[in-house]
Amino acid sequence: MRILIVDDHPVMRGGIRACLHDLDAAIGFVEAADLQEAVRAAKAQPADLVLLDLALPGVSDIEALTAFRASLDPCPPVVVFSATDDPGTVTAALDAGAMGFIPKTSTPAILQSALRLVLAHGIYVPPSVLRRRDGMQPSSSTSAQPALRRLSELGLTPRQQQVCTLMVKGRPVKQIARDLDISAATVKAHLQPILRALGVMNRTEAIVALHRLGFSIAD
Amino acid sequence: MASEHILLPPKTQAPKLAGVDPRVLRARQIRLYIETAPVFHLLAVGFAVGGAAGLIWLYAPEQRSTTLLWALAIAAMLLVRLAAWIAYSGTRPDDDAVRRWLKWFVVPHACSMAAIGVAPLLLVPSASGHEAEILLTISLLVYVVAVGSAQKFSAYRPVVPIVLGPMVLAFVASMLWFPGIAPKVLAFGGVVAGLWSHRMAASFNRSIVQSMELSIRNENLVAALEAHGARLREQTAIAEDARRLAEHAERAKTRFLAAASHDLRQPMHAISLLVGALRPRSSGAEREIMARLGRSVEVMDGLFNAILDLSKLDSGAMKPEIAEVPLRAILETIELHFGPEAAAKNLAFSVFASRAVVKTDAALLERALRNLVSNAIKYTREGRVLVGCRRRGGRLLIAVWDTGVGIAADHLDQVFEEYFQVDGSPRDRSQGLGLGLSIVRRLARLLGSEIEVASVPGTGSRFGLEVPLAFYRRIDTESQAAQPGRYAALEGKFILIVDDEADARFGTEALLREWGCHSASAGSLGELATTLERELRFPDAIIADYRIGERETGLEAISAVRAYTGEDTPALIVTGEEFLETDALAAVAIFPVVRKPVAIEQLRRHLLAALEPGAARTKAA
Repeated sequence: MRILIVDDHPVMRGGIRACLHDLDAAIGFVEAADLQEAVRAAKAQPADLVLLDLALPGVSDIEALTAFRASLDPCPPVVVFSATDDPGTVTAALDAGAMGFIPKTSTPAILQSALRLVLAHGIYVPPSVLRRRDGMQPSSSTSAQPALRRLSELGLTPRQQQVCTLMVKGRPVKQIARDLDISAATVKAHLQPILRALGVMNRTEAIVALHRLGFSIAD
Repeated sequence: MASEHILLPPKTQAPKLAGVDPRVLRARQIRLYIETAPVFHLLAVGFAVGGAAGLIWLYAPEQRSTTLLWALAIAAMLLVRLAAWIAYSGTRPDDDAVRRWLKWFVVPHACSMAAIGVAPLLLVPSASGHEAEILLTISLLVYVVAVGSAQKFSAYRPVVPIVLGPMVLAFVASMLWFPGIAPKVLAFGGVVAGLWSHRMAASFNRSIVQSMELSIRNENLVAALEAHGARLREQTAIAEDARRLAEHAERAKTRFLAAASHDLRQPMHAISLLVGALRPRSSGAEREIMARLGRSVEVMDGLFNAILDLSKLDSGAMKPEIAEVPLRAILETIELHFGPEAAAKNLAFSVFASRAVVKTDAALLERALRNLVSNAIKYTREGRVLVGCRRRGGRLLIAVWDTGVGIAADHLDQVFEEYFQVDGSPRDRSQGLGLGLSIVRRLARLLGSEIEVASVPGTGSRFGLEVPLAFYRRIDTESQAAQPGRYAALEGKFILIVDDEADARFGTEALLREWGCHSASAGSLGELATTLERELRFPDAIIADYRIGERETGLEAISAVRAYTGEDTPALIVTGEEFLETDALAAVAIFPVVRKPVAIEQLRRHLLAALEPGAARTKAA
């Protein structure tokens, strides 16, 4: 597994690296201090996961994410790693295609378990977003880590799981259709069981629900 | 006697008005004297003298050479004044210099007047038979010049005797030289003319001086006002600068705090990650050190959070998003979060559940309550901490009670200030900077409330804030929500509405939201296509109006949805028409029909039936 860490603070990159390395010694790391470097690194050798700080030199907030995603095709799944945690920014990041959002403001214990969760193909979003959504209670999965559930538990076929995983990783419907050589309507049709099972309308809500219910999106 | 009077220096000056500089006043009078009708005056005197000389030339041929010399002497004086005038006009001297110019006007003026006065002696032949006519002519000239010049020399009073005196004296003296009564009478006329001229000049001068003083005072006043205005403007500018500076400093402080706490946190987060990485590898004493390190980092992180919160609140970056919020969820979170902490300190901790739904920003309210509860636990050594609500008219008081150290009355206001910590309380800087309550106060204000505080030292405190109450949840709806039953089948379903009436769409969508459904709506088949394209999810059911616009029907809408999704989407038809055409009736018969106005219970029943798993998608099938 290769992880690209994009953060302008070397200590931060070092910290994440040490923490993740401890969790899985087989992880390979690439570090980048700004957007250009990150895009170069990702193009040179595709990463399996990108940990992206939103406050990079020259770009601000969501712009860093959209610019990064626009420069790569296909774009590897991006988990935003940011000092901001207000629900507006988190939702905007998910809307812009992030696969998760880890606020650096979380307590160290949560920070570590969030990273661990992401490494295990789980999804992490901060509790502030969960609270904003009507009818959703913050999950207890943030503190204790039960075994992650698999998408097949929802009765999805392998093809449906595949399409769902691509969507969660941030691939737009049109791109999934192109990659799998099927029509956009068929892609949507494959997504219906998961959307209905989770009771959600779009990708962002799906990510929040997958986190809340503790699903892994491993292929 | 008369001349004495004339030569007397002016005794009565116009009363000096405060603020008028006499030098300025004098300079203006001199200017006026020099500048009053200079050319006209010279021409008038020149013509009068020329006329008189012409008469004498005719009546006394033997006096022609004297008369010519006399007229030329006067003309020379006039020319000197004219030259002086031209030079003066070119120089435009200032107030001090103008005095030095005076002699160049007064001396020739006095000389020419004296020359006119002495004319009888010089020009009248001793025995020509025309003495009387010539004397009369000269006398008339003197009278006219004396009176006619009054206006000219009235401008500057000291000039009056200098100019008028020599002429009148010379005239009277020359006339007395002649024998007979007539010259004496003419001489007396000269004295009268001189006195009259002097009187006129004095009177003119008074009004001139008065108006000059007035204008000088006005000018001074205007100048003073302007100076005052300039000073005021200057002061306002200084105040404005100071305000800008203060604002700038405030913004700089906020930016600094945000930047500093952001940058300082980066290495701190890194430390916590490193500690986390080391922990599993360490053993025994090391493990204990690691745990302490981890706790220190958590405390530090809390402090940075507080500072960052404060700077965010001060910079106005936090905007409340007011919504109807059930208090229950927030209180439960608080209970879960602080329960262990209170238990660790052996405090009884109770949170009273509430059915209230309040209008507030859930995240901000929770933050405020967290701070209050955290404070209460921190300052309470034994006893209990309670969280509860009380209704106050249209508002709800949410309060935190404790049996802690309490706050003295004179400290009640100060506790909300930054970095304030009550003396005598456990002064543990590692536990906080005393920012909690100042954050709470700012949060409360964002939510439209003040923080209430009541406290008895040694007994305990109560902190509370008020939020607008929306309504209370009824017990039955709550139990309904608690036990999944009748509504569970609707929760999270996506219902598509096709209706050309905007009000109907809006109303139905609101109703569906209440039932926990997602919804989208379209007013025409064109709009429907866009909606289907836009939504990632396919509808679970359709509610379609039978007649959509002029030509489209709900049946077409249902077909369009089914064609797009490839699913047998269940559908309901709503219609306001009493009687449907026979073919329409047949077509409609395959779907459940709900009559408008829609009865809510009926709509829900039909919807639940349509969504039932395994239920026939259409009546016909």
